[in-house]
Amino acid sequence: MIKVFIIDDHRIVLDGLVNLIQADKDLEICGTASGYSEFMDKIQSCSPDVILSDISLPGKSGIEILKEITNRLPNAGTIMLSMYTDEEFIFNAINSGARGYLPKNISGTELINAIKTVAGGGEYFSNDISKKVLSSYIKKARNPEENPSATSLSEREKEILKLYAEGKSNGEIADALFISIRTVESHKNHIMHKLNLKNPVDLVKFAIKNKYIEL
Amino acid sequence: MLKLLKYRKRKISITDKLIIYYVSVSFLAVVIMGWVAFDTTKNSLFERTFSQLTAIREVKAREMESFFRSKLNETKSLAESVSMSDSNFRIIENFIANSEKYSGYMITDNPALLFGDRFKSGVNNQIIDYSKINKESGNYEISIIAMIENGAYLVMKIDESPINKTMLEMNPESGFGLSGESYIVGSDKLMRSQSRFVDNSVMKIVVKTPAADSAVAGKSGITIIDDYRGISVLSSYSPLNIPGLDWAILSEIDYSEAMKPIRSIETRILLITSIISILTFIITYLISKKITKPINRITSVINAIGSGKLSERNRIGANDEIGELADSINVMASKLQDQEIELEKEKKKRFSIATDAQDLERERLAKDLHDGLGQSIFAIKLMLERIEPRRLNGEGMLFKDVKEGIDNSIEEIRRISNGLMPAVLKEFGLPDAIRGLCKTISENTDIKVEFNDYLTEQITDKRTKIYLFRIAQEALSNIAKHSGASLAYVEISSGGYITLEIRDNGNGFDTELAKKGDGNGLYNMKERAEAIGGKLTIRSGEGIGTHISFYREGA
Repeated sequence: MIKVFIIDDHRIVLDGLVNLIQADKDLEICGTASGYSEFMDKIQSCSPDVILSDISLPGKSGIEILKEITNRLPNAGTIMLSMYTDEEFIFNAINSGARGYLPKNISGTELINAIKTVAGGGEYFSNDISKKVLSSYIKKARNPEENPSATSLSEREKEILKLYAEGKSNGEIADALFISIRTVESHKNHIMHKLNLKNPVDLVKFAIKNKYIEL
Repeated sequence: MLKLLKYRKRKISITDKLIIYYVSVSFLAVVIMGWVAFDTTKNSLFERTFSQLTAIREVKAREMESFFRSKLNETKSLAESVSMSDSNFRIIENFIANSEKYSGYMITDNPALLFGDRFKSGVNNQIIDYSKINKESGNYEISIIAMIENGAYLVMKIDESPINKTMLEMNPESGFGLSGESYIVGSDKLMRSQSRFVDNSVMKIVVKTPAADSAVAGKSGITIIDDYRGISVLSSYSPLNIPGLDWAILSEIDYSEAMKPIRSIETRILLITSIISILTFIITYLISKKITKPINRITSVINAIGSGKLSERNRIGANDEIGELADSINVMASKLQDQEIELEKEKKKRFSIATDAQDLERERLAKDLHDGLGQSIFAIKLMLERIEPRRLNGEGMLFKDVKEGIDNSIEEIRRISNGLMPAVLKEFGLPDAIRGLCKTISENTDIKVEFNDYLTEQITDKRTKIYLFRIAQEALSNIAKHSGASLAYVEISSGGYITLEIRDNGNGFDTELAKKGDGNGLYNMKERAEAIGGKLTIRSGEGIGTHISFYREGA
């Protein structure tokens, strides 16, 4: 028997899920919770194979619970169940250790399938979710990241660095970019902090090295 | 039209007015004073000249009268001392030679024959103006007659020379100056003494002047007339009291000479008038500048305040009415400024309240849709799942349609809820929410939107999060709808500050024009930026696209 723990703050959904899962002969419910604290209480007396959790919860979100599970119960597989199918939701879930992601319009059969797949050590993403993951991956593969130390600067910071390396004063930079001198100084400090540079000379050296200006 | 009306009424500056008033007043005063001085001087000058003329005339008249009286006596004595004998004639001749006054003599026993009705019979001693009788000869001859004896008469003759000696005065020091003269006219208006100006005038020049007329008629007086030369003169005239001679004496001086002192006074008055007028002009100009300068300054301050520069103030100046005016205006401006600030605060407060209420309402609605309706429908779907297909009695198709309908409803709810308040924002924060926006636009339009997150820490303030998200949402929606851009770039960064930058390579827009309308929600964006203590800068135009930049000091 596969032991399933369900977290959802909607009573009506929770009941529906419980009914659905109990109807399957291979699955049994080992506990339900409507939020983080209730889950933390009940999980002591139950070691589920699969945890089914909503993401949008009152208090700590499903993602927080997921992180907790990944730390404490590395053997349990977690499937996130959400109304949302935005990439941000999916990737946040995956990054936090989710082994499955299901939108809240899934059919009963697919839900059971997903639980069984994850319980067997696999991963399950419904059709549209897989598509989103894939297209995002393709996009990233096509636009490889540049030199990370340089790209860690924002466009505004790059502009300021370039003008500074060209020998412009704080006042001139402020005028050119329609910002205050204080902002320019603040940006410069931030750039040095980001790049772990010690002084303005290093700043100019960095600009030359990364071809912000031509000599 | 208003402008036109304003200009139609010609502007006369205070300076102009003051100069016109003061110069005309001072000019009038100087002119009146000058005229009075001139008139007084002229009158006293006339008076003096006339009295001088009269004095001289009197002196001359006395001299002439005493001259003839003495000649009459002389002749009488002479006649008494001689008898009709030849030897006596020598005495007479000697007398004539010694006295030099007489031009000759004769003895006649029938004077009536010689003098006609001029000779008054029975008068022993008399003077007859013989030249009047013997006009044709042109000779000047006064006859002094005295009876010798037995009807014989001694006639002593006097010509013009002794008379001229007394009357003619050529010396300018004599009180007559260069144009003064005294002369005698007979009742026939012919001159009986030499004119100062015309040679051989005796018995030749007729003096036809009102003064001569009056004098001959026995009147004396003063008058201004044109004399025998036709020159304007001041004239003092009177008859001469010499028995037998109906003569008159006139003392005259040219008007122009008598008035000479007046001319210099005239010139002086004119000069003084001019100097005073010019001085008045200069002083008035300086004074008016002193008055109008602060007024002009106040005017420009008021104009500045009127055009919205409420921080404009008058300098605290003089301790007078204008100074008070300036102070009052400063007080007014301060109050206006305070009110403006209050109003602005109130506006911002209202904006915040309204916006927050709206955001809250949206969030609530999104939550209701998601947590309420959405979950219920999902639960319904789960219940339907439990219906066994074999129990449907051939209604399988309908069952499938119902499930599809439910799926669509869930999708719709998700869409609406996300539009109202993205769950991503609440669950994962601002960068993920903005990334979602960028992605949506990239996927649904031809605009490629790049997003970079350089936040060093998460933004925790819910209001800041929501407002920045709304700014990004508005900006990106504008880019999608209006910009015509092919690329857009969004970045968010922090580090003792928070910046949000949204740029595109589109057509840009006229920021001035956009300010007037509520163009593309720019106003809302700015208000939101300021409501969370930041500042939104918008640059836009052909060639640079649009660059919206949010900046806030502090995290």
